[in-house]
Amino acid sequence: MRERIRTITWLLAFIVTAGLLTVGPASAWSPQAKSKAKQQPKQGQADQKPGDQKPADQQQTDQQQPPPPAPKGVLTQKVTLRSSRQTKDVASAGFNGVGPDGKVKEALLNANPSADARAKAARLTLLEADASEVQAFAKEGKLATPPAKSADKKGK
Amino acid sequence: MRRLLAISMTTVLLAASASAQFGGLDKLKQKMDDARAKTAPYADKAKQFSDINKDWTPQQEEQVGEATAAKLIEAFGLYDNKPMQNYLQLVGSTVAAQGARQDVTYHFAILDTESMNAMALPGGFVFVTRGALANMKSEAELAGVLAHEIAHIDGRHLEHEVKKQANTGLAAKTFAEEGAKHMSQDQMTQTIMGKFGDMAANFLATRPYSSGDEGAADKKGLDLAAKAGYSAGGLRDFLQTLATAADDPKNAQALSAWSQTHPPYGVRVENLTKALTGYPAAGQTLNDRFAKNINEKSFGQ
Repeated sequence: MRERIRTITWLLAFIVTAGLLTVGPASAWSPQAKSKAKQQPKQGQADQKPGDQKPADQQQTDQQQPPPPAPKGVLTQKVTLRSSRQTKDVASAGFNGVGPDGKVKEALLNANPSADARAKAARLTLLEADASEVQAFAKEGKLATPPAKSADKKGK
Repeated sequence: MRRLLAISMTTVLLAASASAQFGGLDKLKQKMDDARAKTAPYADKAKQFSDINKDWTPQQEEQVGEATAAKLIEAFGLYDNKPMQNYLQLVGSTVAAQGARQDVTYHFAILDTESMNAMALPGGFVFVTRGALANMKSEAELAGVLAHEIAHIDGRHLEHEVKKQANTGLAAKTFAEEGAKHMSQDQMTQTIMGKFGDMAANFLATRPYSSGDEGAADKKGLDLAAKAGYSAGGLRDFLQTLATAADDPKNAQALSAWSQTHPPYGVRVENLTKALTGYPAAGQTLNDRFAKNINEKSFGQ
């Protein structure tokens, strides 16, 4: 009887050990892979969120923030005065895109541009001064009359 | 007999375990091969854009320029004022007509920030900030600044900087990783343009060009402005204004971005003053026209 129990115990020990060897390594990377797969979209969302939400946030901040106090420095005094007098134009009075130290906010540069910013950039590609208008402008200012556009210049 | 049975069972189980592990490795290898095959065309395309020995075509320049412009507009905002925009376009086009690259169409626009800066992007995009414009005194100063930026485009200075970054392993790896997600040709090109746009915008807003590129742009800019009939001292005079303003610490916020991305004012003012001796003293400053188009109209005075 004792011998039989010992044999069964040995067998069980082997089965458990072998089972661990078989299942262990495979399951060791599977959950990781699964959790990575789960994490990746989340990460993507996290990357996109600041970019997508920023314009609204920024607008809110711009609207909420009062114009910066008038500094006494030569340069900023001039800028602030002019900005504060804007009546017709839609422009924020402040230092958009830079922090209090004047350095560019890198988070803004690293964010994905909004659809609005992309549309504005696309519209810029259509900007081109008419050659005759440029010639008239130069003439009015007694500047050198620009030569006529060469034929191979890319047209829009 | 029982011992033999136990040994046999253990052997069978161990064999099964080994087989499962090798099967897993095969799958892993297959996955890696698939990923490599997927990213290869993307990496090739990125490599093509990063080729330092091959200039971007005007079309490629405009694609990267547009992606960069979107980033800058997102960060600083676009100052949407038609009369001022037209005036800027006319001044810039007058200067660009004097020997700038003719395969590029120049687009001049204003960024909506009081921080001082001016930036040139591939594809002919030139930005001046509202703060910089507000502190110029004449059309000659504006022409001088725009001429300097046009010279950066002519020299493909930003393209070279971006290619330097793109050639590093990190950028190539990023391209490849992104490529695995987007496989259509259009998406691939768009993503690459976006990545180059990221690099270009980050460089423009935070780092200076080499002193060689800045010196070359100052010299060529001086040529373009003078040939257009402007007073050649426009850029020097504007830099002098900034140099004087920089003495007051209260102007740090307005000037920080400029000083972070350009050589010291004093050095440039000195070099430009020396170079000016080679140009005729006569030239238009057009203070009144500038005041009428910028100060009065656009700043609501």
